[in-house]
Order: sequence, then C-alpha cells, then structure tokens
Amino acid sequence: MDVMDYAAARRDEEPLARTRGASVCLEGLVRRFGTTAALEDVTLELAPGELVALVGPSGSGKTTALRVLAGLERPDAGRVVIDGRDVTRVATHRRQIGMVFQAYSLFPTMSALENVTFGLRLRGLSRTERVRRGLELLELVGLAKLANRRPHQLSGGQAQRVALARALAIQPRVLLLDEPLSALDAAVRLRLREEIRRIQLELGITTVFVTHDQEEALSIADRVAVMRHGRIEQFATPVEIYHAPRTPFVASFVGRANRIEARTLGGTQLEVLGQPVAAPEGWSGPAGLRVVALVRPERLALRMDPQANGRILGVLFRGASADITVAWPGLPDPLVVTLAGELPDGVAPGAPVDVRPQGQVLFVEEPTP
Amino acid sequence: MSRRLGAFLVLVAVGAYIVVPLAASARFSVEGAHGAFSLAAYRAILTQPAAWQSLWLSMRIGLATVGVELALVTWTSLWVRLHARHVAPLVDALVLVPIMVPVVVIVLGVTSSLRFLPAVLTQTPAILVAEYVVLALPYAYRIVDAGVGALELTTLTEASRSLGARWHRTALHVLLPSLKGPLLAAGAMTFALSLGEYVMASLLAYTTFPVWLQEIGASQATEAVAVSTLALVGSVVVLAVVVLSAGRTHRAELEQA
Amino acid sequence: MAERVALTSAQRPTTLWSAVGAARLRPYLGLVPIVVYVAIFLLVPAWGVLAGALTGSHHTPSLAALRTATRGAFAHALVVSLELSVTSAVVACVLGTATAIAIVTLGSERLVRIASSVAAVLANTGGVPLAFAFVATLGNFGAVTLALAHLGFNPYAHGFSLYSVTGLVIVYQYFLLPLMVLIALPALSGLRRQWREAVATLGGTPRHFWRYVGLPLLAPTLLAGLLVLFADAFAAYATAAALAGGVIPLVPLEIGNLIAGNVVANQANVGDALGLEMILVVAVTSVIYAVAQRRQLRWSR
Repeated sequence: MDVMDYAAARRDEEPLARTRGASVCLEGLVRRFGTTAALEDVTLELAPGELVALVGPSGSGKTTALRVLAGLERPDAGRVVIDGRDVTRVATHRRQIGMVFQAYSLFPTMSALENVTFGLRLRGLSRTERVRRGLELLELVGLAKLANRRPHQLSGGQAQRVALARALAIQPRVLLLDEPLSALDAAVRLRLREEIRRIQLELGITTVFVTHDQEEALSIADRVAVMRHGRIEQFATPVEIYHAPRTPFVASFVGRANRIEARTLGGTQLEVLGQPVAAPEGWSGPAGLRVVALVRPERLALRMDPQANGRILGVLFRGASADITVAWPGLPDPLVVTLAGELPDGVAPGAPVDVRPQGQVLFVEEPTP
Repeated sequence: MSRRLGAFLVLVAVGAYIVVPLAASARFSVEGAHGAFSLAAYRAILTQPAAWQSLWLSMRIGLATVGVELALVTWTSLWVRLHARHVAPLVDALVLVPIMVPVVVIVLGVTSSLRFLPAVLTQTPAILVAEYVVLALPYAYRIVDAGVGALELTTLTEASRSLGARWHRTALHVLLPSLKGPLLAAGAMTFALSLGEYVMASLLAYTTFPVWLQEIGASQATEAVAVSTLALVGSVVVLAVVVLSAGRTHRAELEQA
Repeated sequence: MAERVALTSAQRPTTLWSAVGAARLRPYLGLVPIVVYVAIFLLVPAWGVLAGALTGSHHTPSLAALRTATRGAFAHALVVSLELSVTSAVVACVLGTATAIAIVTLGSERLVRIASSVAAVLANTGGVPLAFAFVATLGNFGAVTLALAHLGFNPYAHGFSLYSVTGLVIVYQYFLLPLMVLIALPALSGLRRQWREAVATLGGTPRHFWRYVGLPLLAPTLLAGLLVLFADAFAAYATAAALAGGVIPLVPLEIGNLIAGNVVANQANVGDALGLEMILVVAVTSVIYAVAQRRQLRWSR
C-alpha cells in the first residue's frame, strides 16, 4: 500500500497527526560568531502549510537560520514569530516544533518505536496509546515492520524515516528538516524526497527544508529562499528562481548558466553570439554597453554548419540529454549547450557548429563602473 | 551560560587539587630555618652518595629494561604482522595478562618459584630488569604495535627484498627508522615505569631510587620532599613527552597515508 | 609467499623437519621469545602463587592457607582493603565523570585532546613521591593543614588524619580521578549533539536527556570505570606503604610483610593465599570490564 492511499484512507477515519499549519515569521535575524556574520538581517514569512526550502552553499547561514527558528541558537537581533506569538526567548522544548537532523539523531539505546514515541512519553501518554500512535506513524513512513529494530540495525534511509516519524509524533506546528537527505545515496534520496513532500502536503504542516542541493529545493518546495553569506538573495517560487533570478549568484547557483560577453543594442535588445536577443523582463539600457549575458544551456540552439565559428570541444552524454561543450571565438570560456533527445548527425569533437541563443536572456550582468 | 560556568569551576577545582600538592611540596623543599628560602635540601641530596648510587642503579636497570623491552616487543609485533596474522588476537590478549596480576603477587611468585633460574639472574638486579619488562609489556606492546600497524609492512619488506636486501638489513634500514616515534614513546614509558617502580625493588631489597627515597623519608623529611618534587615533576615531564610524541607520530603517519 | 622464498634460499629443509612440518610450524617460531618470556617471568610466578595457596606446610594439597587468609587479622585486612578500594573508586568515579563532563561541556576538541594527554600522564603517577607530596600538603604540618588552621579550622583537631583510610582515599584520587577521566571522555564525546537537540525539539529538558538517553548510554562505561578504579586502588602498594605502612592493614601490605618479614614455615603459603585472593579480585573485575566495553561499542556507532 503506498503512502498516499494509506493517508487518504486515514483521512476519513481520524486525523493522524493533522495540524493546522502554523504561520512562521523570521524578522531581521542577525547572528554573529566573532567577526563572521552567520545571519545578516534575515527576514522570511511562511504561510500555513507551506514548504519553504532554504538553499545555499555551506556557510550561507541556512542551517543557522533553521537552528534559530528551532531555538537551538539565540539570535543577536531580530524576532522569531510562530502563529503570531513571539517565541524568540522561548526555549526549544516549549516551541512545539519537530526537527529532523542530517544523520545519527536516533537515540541508540531505544528501538525505532521507542524513538518515535519518545515525545509522547514525555507528554505522559499511556503506554498503549503511545504504541498505537507510534505504529501508525511508522506505517505512514513505511517502516511498521521495523518497529523493534535498533538504530544501528537500520540503513541510512530507514533511520531518516524513523526520525521523520519521531518528529511528527508530537504534532508539531512547524517541521524543520536540516539537510535530512544529504547523507544518503542518490537513489534513496530521490525516493525519500518525494515521500517527505507527500506526507507534508497530506498533513498540512508548515515546513522548512534546508539543503545545499538546489535541484532538491526546486523539486519539492512551494517557495525557495536562496541564501548567501547570511543574507537571502531571493525568495520566490521555484519557477521564478529558475527563470527570473534576481542576482547573478542566484542565476548561477540554481541550475547552470553560461556567462557570455555581449553588447547592448539599445532598449531591451542585446547582441549575444552575434544574434539579437531579448533582455530579461524589465531590463533596458542604452546601446553600445559591454555586458555579460547569462544564458541557460538549454536555451542555446546548436546547428551543424561547416562555415560556422564554433568548434565542439566535447560531448557529455547523459541519457535523456547531452551537454555539448563548444569553443566560440572571442569568448574566454567554452559554452555549454544542453540538447534533449537525439543528437544531430555529425556531433563530435572538432566539428564546426553554430550556436544561437533562444528566447530571453536569463540575466544581465552590468560591468561595475 | 551557567553550564559553562559550572564546568569551568569544576575544572578549576580539579586543577587546584592537582597543582596544590606539587606546589606545597616544592615550597616545603625550599623552606629553610624560620621560613627563609633555602636550597639546602637540594644541596644535601646532591651531595649524598647514596642518592647518586640509587639513581645510577635505577638508571642502569631502566636502560636495560628498555633495551630488552623494545627488542622483545618490536620483534614480536613485526613477526605477528608479517607471518602470523591469525595469532594477533591471542598475542594481544597475552600482553594484557600482566595487568591482571598485581605487582605484589608477582614478587611473591618470583621469590618462591623462580629458584630454577641461574643465580646471576635471580640474585642480582637483573631480576628487576626481567620483571619490569613484564610490567611494561601491555603498554609498550600497544604503542609499538600501533606504530608497526601504521606501516605498510608487506609492501616495505617486499620492496626492500626486491632490491636485494636480506631480512636483517631490511629491518635495520627500512623498518626501524620508520618506527622511531613509537619506539621512543614506548622506551620513555618503560624507562619511567622502571625508574618509579617501588614495590618489587623494595621487597627484593634493592636500593633503587624510589626505595632510597622512602628510606630517607623517615629521617630527612625535607630532603625526601625535595626529591619527591623533582621526581613528580620529572615523571610528569617524561610521560608528557611520551604521550605527545606517540600522538604526533601517529597523526603524522595518518597524514602521510 | 615471501616466507617460502626465504625458506628455500636461506636453508634447505633437513631430515629433522620435513618441508611440510617446517612450513606449518614456521609462523609460530618467531613467537617463541615472547611466549617463553611471559611464561617464565609471569606465568610461572603466578602459577607458583596459585599452587602455593593450595598447598599445606608439608607440600601436600591443603586449604589451610586459604583458611588462615580469610580469617582474623587477614580477613580484617581484606575488609579494610575493600573499604578503601570501593570508597576511592566511587569517589573517583563521580568526580572523574563530573570532570569529564566539564571538559566536554567547554566544547573545544583541542581541550579534550590535551585533557586526555594530561590525564594519561597523571593516571600513571603515584607511589612514594606522591605520598610525600601529600604529607607536605595535608600532613600534620602540611601547607593546606596550616592554612586551614590559620582560618580557624584545623582538620587534625577534628579527627582527620592523612594516615587513615580517609587520607588514603584523598591521596588515591590523584591517579584515580585522571584514570576515570580517561575512561569517561571517549564515551562522553560520543554523546552526539544531535541527541541533546533532538530531545529538546521533542519537548524534553536537559534532565530528560540525561535520564532517558545520556545515562543509559553511559552506564556501561561508568560501571567499567568503577571496576577499573576499584582494581587499581585494590592493587596499589607504594603509596599505601609510604603513608600507612604498619598503621592500616591492607592486603597488599600484608603480602609485603610476609615476603620481607620473618617467613615462618606455615605462614609462607598464607602469602600465596592472599595473592590468590588479589588475583581473583582483579581478574573478575577485568572480565566484567571487557564485557561492558563490548556492549558500549555496539551502541555508539
């Protein structure tokens, strides 16, 4: 029985761990360690039931933001508000949040079931009630058969499922996930990612998901906050983040982008790779400026042409798509073109090709004066 | 952050407990008549022939012990790892047996059961050397074995042999130099152990350094305390060298690997 | 393969050992030195003690020695020894664990490493120098004694004496406490931060953490530490001899007296019996320690 069927069936019986998701507000959080600022004026608002991904490179402050939200760290300035209540000064154990850590957070002396019911035990539930709820939760994450296993007998993926069940057991208002999949194998990661999203949607819990993997963030979040050096560079839906990045960092961190030296043609037109092309929405500028245009690999069209200036340097076959590296005269770095489906005939290192940008340019970097 | 404050206070208290006796004995040893600072006690020990004799005896015993210990331990460790891997757990267990037998009991056994050995062994300080090797065995073996384990033993020996070297040359020129750190550490520890050993030496009536120290304790209190201070500080320093050098070599080898 | 090459080039097998026999025995040849050494200088004496304990005055098997060893003055010595060892062990266990917790709380990995090294050094100090150092500290005219007297509270006026079981317990901490720190530090360092934080997010206070996660996890280590400390205190001789020789009856000291003093014919084996007693005590605690260690390892992966 897959999780969705089970969840749908239970929905009519009894609200399992159903909560009305809480609204979460981070206002102007600042956190400094010595001279480094882990958080610099971080402000974020989450609607009830929303899954927000915090994504960024290591040191960007995403984990610190999560830990401040959890109460495991105190901000130097700013507020944390959950459901309208200021909890900045409230201790972790009174915030009613659920947290899943990256790895090794299961209590080693307890079985999976005992781990899951730990929070319930602290709340004084009777043994029978605890076991019942615990088994329900383990069913939800697909591990009811492993209830009596010890953590060291579980695989990484299984351990994280138990950790999730444990966090959900106390019916938290907010669910926090600190890179829960980073320590797992790629295949397990993909499966678990989807399950987490499904469970989150079904239960309607407001969730904050921290990851350094931008693909992971884009695939499951309602909204994504891209962080860098303790600041939020952009907070928007995955589609907006991908197609309309607001800073060069977001443009290159999320997905891949070619940086192509280009010229402005006046108004909203640019000349890229010798072709006129539209600038991103809302951008305009005078003619004759030298700029850098960011173009996604899948937005470059490639055509075999013996008279063209481009030369193929390499072909990376990825199954459903292929990345072609092309050397273009006048550009310091080679272009990467992503082609979906079958490759045209003649694609091989050394072949001459013509590359043209399609659609809009992703982002324009203006030279600093 | 009251947790950190509490932790800090605990460490200060423990630190005081460790340092105060050292300080007190140091102060006691330099206290002359009417509380004046005086090195008379130290001067007195240095001029006593018995002090030097006992120290010299302890040193000789110590060095002999180190020699036998390192030879025995290095040979065994190398052999086990090269030729008898499967016996390793047994050897590990064997070297731990000395910990199970209290020193007094060993002395007891030595006096009664080792009569079959030649007198040159049992009626001279050589018996102390022999037994100290046993006492230091668990610690020395572990240190050296860890060092040997960190070497790419089979590769080294095979490489050396392929270049034409025979077994003993291999050992001498290839293996031993790589074991300098652990050998030094094990040697220092063995030396410190034999220098500080009291039970066996006193019960078998040999006036080693600790035994002499105990003897003068009754009659020359200040001198005894002066020597104790030196001994304590000295052993702390020696053992610190041991621990730090064993750790550093191990880490350096890890980095190289 | 290497050994076979050596065999054929270094020595041709003689008729004394066939090639097969030699090949089978060869791995064990190099172990002869250590086995013989340990046999002669450890096992033979130990066996001698065991045998002597069960021998009577006419070299016949007899339990007389054991009976004397468990009676009268010797029984008293055993009781005092146990009292001293248990007290020292418990005190060192508590204080050592508290110290280890303090070290780990202050967080830095460097501190933990330095502390381990320092503890390793201190755990090996002891003996006569330590005894004298404490005489200079807490003896009748020790520095601390005089300082306390100055403040109006002379411990000796209130019945305290360095040359008593209490005094020995205090002195023994010098090497027992660091030993406990050495034992407890790895286990405490292994208490993952995530567990503490997970307990907090699930609604638990630090007390809940210790009660449900920390102590159950540490229990084997604490027990093991207790046993090691006990064995160490029980077998200690030099410090006790220096401070309490002749004043306090202790089993190791009794054995010492029997060796060094007049060995009356039927007393000789009593020493062996006492020795057997000591071996048993230490052996039992070692075994329990090994078992506890294995359980601890299973859980902190």
